Order: sequence, then C-alpha cells, then structure tokens
Amino acid sequence: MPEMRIIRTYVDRANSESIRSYIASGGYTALPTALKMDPLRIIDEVKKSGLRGRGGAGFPTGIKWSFIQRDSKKPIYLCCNADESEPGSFKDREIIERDPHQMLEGIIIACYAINSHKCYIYIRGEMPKGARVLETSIYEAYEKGFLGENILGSGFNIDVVLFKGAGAYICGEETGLLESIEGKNGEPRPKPPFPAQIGLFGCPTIVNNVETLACVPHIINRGAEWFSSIGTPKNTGTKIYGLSGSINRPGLYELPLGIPLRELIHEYGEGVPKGRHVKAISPGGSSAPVLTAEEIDIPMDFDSLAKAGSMLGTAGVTVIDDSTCMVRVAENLAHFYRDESCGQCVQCREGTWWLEKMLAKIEEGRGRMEYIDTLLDACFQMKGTTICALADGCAMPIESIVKKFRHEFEEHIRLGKCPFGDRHMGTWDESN
Amino acid sequence: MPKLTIDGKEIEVEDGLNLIQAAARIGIEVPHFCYHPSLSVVAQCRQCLVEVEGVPKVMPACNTFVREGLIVKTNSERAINARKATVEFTLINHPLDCPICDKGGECPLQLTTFKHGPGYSRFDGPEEKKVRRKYYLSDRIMYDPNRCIMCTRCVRFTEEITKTGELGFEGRAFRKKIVVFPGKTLDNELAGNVIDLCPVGALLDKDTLHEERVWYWKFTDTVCPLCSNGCNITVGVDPRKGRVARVRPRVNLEVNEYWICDRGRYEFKGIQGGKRLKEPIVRIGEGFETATWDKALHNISERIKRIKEEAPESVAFVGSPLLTNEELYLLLKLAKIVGINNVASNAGKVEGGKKFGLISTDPFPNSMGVRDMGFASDNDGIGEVIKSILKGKIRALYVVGEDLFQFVSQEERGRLTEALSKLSLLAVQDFKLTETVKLAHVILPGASPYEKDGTFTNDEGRVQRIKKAIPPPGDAKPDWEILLLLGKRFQKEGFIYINPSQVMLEISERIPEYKGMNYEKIGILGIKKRE
Repeated sequence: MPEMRIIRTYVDRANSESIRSYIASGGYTALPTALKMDPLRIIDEVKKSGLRGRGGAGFPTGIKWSFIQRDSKKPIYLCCNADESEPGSFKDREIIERDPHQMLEGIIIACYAINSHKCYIYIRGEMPKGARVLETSIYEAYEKGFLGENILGSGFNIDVVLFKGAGAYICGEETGLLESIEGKNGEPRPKPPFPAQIGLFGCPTIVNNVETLACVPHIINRGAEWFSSIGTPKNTGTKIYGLSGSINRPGLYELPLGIPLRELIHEYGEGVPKGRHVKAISPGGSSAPVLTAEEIDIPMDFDSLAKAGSMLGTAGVTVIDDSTCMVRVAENLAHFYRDESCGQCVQCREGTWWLEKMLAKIEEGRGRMEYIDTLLDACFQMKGTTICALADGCAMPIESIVKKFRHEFEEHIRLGKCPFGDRHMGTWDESN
Repeated sequence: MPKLTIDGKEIEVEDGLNLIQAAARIGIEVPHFCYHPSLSVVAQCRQCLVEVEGVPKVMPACNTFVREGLIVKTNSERAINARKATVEFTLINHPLDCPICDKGGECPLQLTTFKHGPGYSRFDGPEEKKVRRKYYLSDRIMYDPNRCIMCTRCVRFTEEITKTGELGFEGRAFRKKIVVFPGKTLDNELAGNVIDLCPVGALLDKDTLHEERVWYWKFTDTVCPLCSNGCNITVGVDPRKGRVARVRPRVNLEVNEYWICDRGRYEFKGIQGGKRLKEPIVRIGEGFETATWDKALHNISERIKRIKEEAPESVAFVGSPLLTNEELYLLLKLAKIVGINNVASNAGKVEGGKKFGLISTDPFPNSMGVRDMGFASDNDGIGEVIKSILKGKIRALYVVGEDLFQFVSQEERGRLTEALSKLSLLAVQDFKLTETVKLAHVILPGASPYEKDGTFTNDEGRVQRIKKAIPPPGDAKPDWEILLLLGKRFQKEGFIYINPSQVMLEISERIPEYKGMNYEKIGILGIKKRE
C-alpha cells in the first residue's frame, strides 16, 4: 500500500533540496496567495484545517498563533524548532535535509500571519548536514526575494536567522530553546508567562515544529477543508511516522493520522524479524509510555493514544521484540534523561539519577523487591511536579514499563541476574 | 484586593502576592528554598508545591499568584506527599554530613526535612552518592557542590542585587555546579550575603569554618556601628568563648533590606582582636599604673574642679559620633552642670549616593545624633578645640571616644603631641588604644558599640537601638556608665539613671525631634525622629 505523501512527495528526488527543484514541483505558490490574504484569515484557515503541533504536544497551531498580540509594541518572533533530539524521532531531519523550502515557505507564511519580521531556526547541533543545507536554502530564498525586504512586492519584511544548538536535548523544549537562542544555558522557564506573551528576548514569540510549518503551504494551497478531510475529525492531516527498532523495514512513512499501529508495523514496516515477536512498542519517541503487543490495534493519533495512557509525541515508533530485556530498556531511558536533565528541578535532576541507579541494580541482579514500588512512586512524584516535561518524559515510559512488565523486574530480582544475558553482550543471533 | 481561600481560610490580600506570601499572612508556612522575596522567582527547588483547585498539577506556590476565588490547599494529602517527595529527592545526593556542616542547626534544608520530609530515605546505597571537590569562590567563601541543591539564590543575588554577575553555573543535570566566571572573583562589597542566602551548607564562611556551632550562640539584635546607614544586624556570640562569632544582616526593609556589606560582617574582628583598654590607668610621673575606677575618676573630677576654678575657659570636653545618643546627651549634661562651654564633637557627612544602597561615605554610626543632641558639629568644633590647645589656652581636656590626631595634618602631629603633653589634665575615655590615649594622664576603658546599650540615629533620621551582645573586656565599662559615675562626682542628683532607656526618656522631653520617644516605641526596627 502506498504512503499518502504530502510533505514527503519529492524527498526521493535528486537535488530535491534546491530551490529550483522546489519551484519546479510547484513550490512557493502558496506564498503569493498568502501575501494577498488578510493575516487573520490565514490564522482562521489554519484553525479550520485542524492542524495540530507536530512537535509532540499536539496543540492546535491556529489557536497558538491567535494568542499573539498582533499590535504589540515589541517585536514578535517566530522560532522554528528544528532541535529534533527525541530518541526514536528522525522526521524533521528529512524535511530539513531533503525539502527545506517547504518549511521556509511555511515560516514566511507564519511570520506574515502573526506579524513577525524575524524568525530563528534553532537547528540541532548534531545535524551539521541539515545546517549546511538550510544555510544554502535561506541564501537561495533571499536571492529569489522570498526573504528579506518587501517580499514579492507585498511590503512585508522577514529575516531568517539560523541558530545552531550545542547539543542539548532540553533545548528542544520551547522555553529552553528560547534561553539558548538568548545565549544562556538551555534551561526551561517557569510557565506562566507563556512564550506568546513573554518569549524570546522578552517579546511575544511563537515556537513551531518543522513538520508543522511544512504543513502550512499545503493548507494555503489546497484549503483547510482538504486538509481536514485527511485523518480523523480531531486529528487532521498526514503525519510522518518514523519506524525503528526491531522492524524489517525501518524508515519514515507519511500516512494519515489515525492509522492503526498494527498496519504501520506489519504492513508498512513488514513486521519484526523472523522468529521474533513484538513485545512492546514505544509509539511516540522515547518519552511516550510504551504499549504492549496486545495494544497494537490502537489508531495512531493524538487523542486515541492519550486515551490509552500513552501519547503520539513525535510519532517516532520504536518496536521492541521479545529478545529485549525491558529492564535494560528502562535503564537505557533513565540513563538518557539523567544525562539530559538541565538540573534545575530536583525531581528531575535527582529523580532521573535515582531511577537509573535503581534500574541498573535490578539489571545487574543487585536489586531488591521493594525497588519496584519505589520506582513507581518515584515516577509518580516526578510527573507534573517540574518546570518542564523532561521529568515526565523520563517517568512516563519507565512507569509504563514497570507496570506492564513487572514480571521481568521480579524475575531479575529473584534470579539475581538478567535472564536476557549480560547487558554488554547483545543477545542478537546473526543467523536469525 | 482579591479574595482567596487557603486551607479553608478565606483571606483578602493585595494583588501581586504569590501563594507563599499570602499563606504567610495567615500563619501558614509553605517551605521553600529558591524563593526569596527580593530575588526573581525561578521555581526550581519545587519545595513549595501546593494544590490549587481546578489545576490538574501541583503548583509551585512561589510562581502562583493570588487571584480572586482561588482555592488553595497546602495541607491536602497530595500537596503534603509532593513536598515530602521533594525532600526525599533533594536528599538523594545531599551528603547528609550535618554533624560536621557549619550550617547545621540553622539550615533550612535540615528544618524542612524535619518538618516536611519523609523521615527516612528509600535511596539505597549512600556510598554511590556523587562526590565532587570543594573549591573557593573567593578568599572567604568556600563552595561545596555536594551539598548544593541548585537553588541559584547566590547566582541571582550577584545578578540582581549587586549587579556584578560574578557567579554562574556550569554543566547540566547532576554535573551542574556554581562557578565564578573566568577572570572574576566573588569580591564585591556585599559578597558575604551569599553565605546567609544559601539554604544549605554549600556556601561557607572560611572565617569560622569548622570552628563554631550555631546552637551554642546567643543572638543579639543590634545595629552595625561602621557607617551612617545603620544596617540592622544580628550578632551571634558563643558565650563559652565570650567573643563575637558572626555578624549577620537582620531584615529591615526601611534600612538595609536583607543585606549588610562585608565590612559590617567582618570588621568586628578588628575591634575584638585589636589592642583594647581593659582597666583604668593613671599616669604617675613617666610611668603608668593601673588604678581602681574610684581612684581614676577621683583624679579626673578633682583636677577638673581645681582647674575650672582657676580658669573656667581652660577646660574642654570632646565627644565622638561613635557614641550613642544617650552618651552624647550625658556628656553635654555633664558639661552644663560643671559649667563648661568648650564642648565639641564632629560629625561625618554623607557624600553622594550610597553604594548598593547601603554603604555610606560617612564612617560614623551616629553623626546625626551628634547634631541632634546639640553639638555644633558642622563648625569643626574639634578643630577649634585643637587650635585652643595649640595656643596653650586649654589646661584640662576630657576626650570621650575620639582620637584628636585624626584632625591634624601629618606636619602638625608633633606640635599637637607637645601641646597635649603640657596639659595639666588629659583624661581619655576609649575602648581602643589611640595616639591620644598614649598621652593621657588618666585612661578610662570604655566599651565598643557591640558591648553597650543605647541608640544611634542613622543618616536618614531613624533612631535605632544598639544592644550589648558581649560584655566589655576586663574592667572596662560602657561609656554611659562611666559618664554617670563621673557626673555623680559633680552633682549626685543629676545622674541617677539605671539604664540608657531612662536617659532616652529625658532626651524625649528635652529635644523636640525626639519627643515622645522611648525604647518600647523604637522597638526592633527603629523609628524616624520628628522632622
């Protein structure tokens, strides 16, 4: 079955990242239309399309834009969040490297809609190729007059600044990102105030994900109704799903929101390697609570996953098969978050550290039965008690793993060792 | 004025307060570390979590502001458990070396753990706690990253209060630590305040490191005697050692807010450790001899009486802006009773603004009092007296707390020494050994401002009480007591006071600006004198 490609239509072509290729394939046609529209109508159109933020939270983009006080005496900023760092997610990277003008066109339209004259693209430090491509694309767009002063004779000016991160997961959090652009340590800010009121340099700011912005030109070109007809009524449009882990055909798949997880894994991903069985699935990046093999029929959209106690997040689906130790998975997650915590809030700074210690001990066979309940309680206290959601992002998947795979934890403790073998020695058998 | 409900109690408070402040109004304590009323809100320590009706998460009280109709629960099971958990998290990597920590006994983390903590930790394996090296942020302040709970109060202090920005933090997650920016050192004049701000024992005063235990201390609320701003301080004294251990700021929003300068914090050592006068001394021929108070005072009073009769204009008294209002008043009263017109005391002047709003250019605590009590201080009275001395017009001189050599140039010092040596009587009352004291015929050992009671009037006209934190050394006495003893030798009934508060009652009757003032009204924060 083919994908439903909207954003990914041209990514497989040679030189798809160049402006010539983009224009030849009908790019930059939404821009003149948009510039003739009333900015408020653009916001309305985006609202009507039902577009929800593709960065993870799924907040309706049009509503977010309407929070901006358009007659603000301070400058208004747009920040494009290209700091894709969530383990298991690699969707933005492809847009940036293979079709960046889509995103740039989205940026220009968004700037016009929220009356912003400056956009910062915050790109992850570990994406040097993406940064190089974007640099060229921005240059090309300036050359063609899509950026800079008096865009297409509309009298509207936009400058785009490419800002490279220095390698911190937390800078993908929107206020951490703002702090980082301001030249400070990437530490999320307490909310309220929200960035739409006090954001970058104390000015009203909108932070949007790369994929979200890439959707915008298509909505302008083909209309909100078309967009909202894709997917489910409250989860409209397509979504780029990333498949990774124990799967035969890993990669990116653009499909309507709400596609069943089973279809995604077994039809598009062609299932797990022979002889293996799905044990758990992380449906939306590492921060999402895992699903068990029994939950595989769930529709992949924001609301269905939230209802099931997980989340769509970035839609980076990681499949875990039955050869993998779930304690080890949890330990690995804790290790990542322990390392990436910004260190402001105690629940996160100490909690992630504590979780990793406990999980490592269980994995090494030095755990005690009471650790299991302590893990669950620590996870519970880490959720919703901190400035940003990083602690939640650590606690949620680990809590779900402990709850859903408690027997594995108990087995580790009972045996005094990991039943899956030494964690440093893969159990992967090449003959499979 | 929004109305809100906290723990079932309805209150009405002014707009702009956060929930910590609002709860405090009705006596509910919300524990916190990173929040400080004069610093920006960062909501990092997560210790002040409370439940707010209609909000799914527990909210930090420091960053939640009062609103009409807000229903707040600080005592719900969820809020209590969340704060309990915060303590448990905070203590995971805290070394819990309270027995050897200087902050022990007055540590907010200790107190919060005691009041709000779980009482035990489920963290298994204390040997795995992270251990990092301690280092100095300045010559005086040591930093222990293991104890640090990353509240960033110290960082915000240097950013927002002193605006010197020496401190920042380095690293993230569990590696995070407070550092001094390269090429800088934490040496601004208010730097010592970060020690008090620290809610744990992470920032420590090298001066008293591993030397003091706070629970032995006796605290006295007094006023700093080192400049005309009159910062409110608390002096901690270890009674077993009989010396000041530490000087700390005392909150007075009208004067020094929450801070004192490092001079105020550390200079007591110069007074405490300097050469002190401990007993009355009388000169006999070329030598000195310790004497009883009776003998020393008799010596002075008899000689003054004799010289006064021979030449009334040849007796002079000199006071000092280091003396309390009561002492200055008594000195003037004594002069009046004896019939002496030559009474002088100079006062300092405040020039320009105060650095950080609390460091004044006038180094004396009671210049205002000198003026108020009736010294013609701005006319360089002491200069006039010195001129008379140099001309040989003065035969008897009683100096209280002042060093005359401060008022002459280097070249004139020899002449002054010669002139002072020719006096028939030079009586000097002071707590420290000055050049003038060395020439005296009679030396009366007084008390430093940390060792006596009284009042100072600061440069903004605020009358504030100073209190005796430690007794004066040896046989020394507070200056007001010496003045009473001397006064009684001239007129018994004029100097019957039990303590300085009675002198203040008399001042309040005689000096219009101090009308109606008494120690009770002055209270702990002082009151402004009348215009």
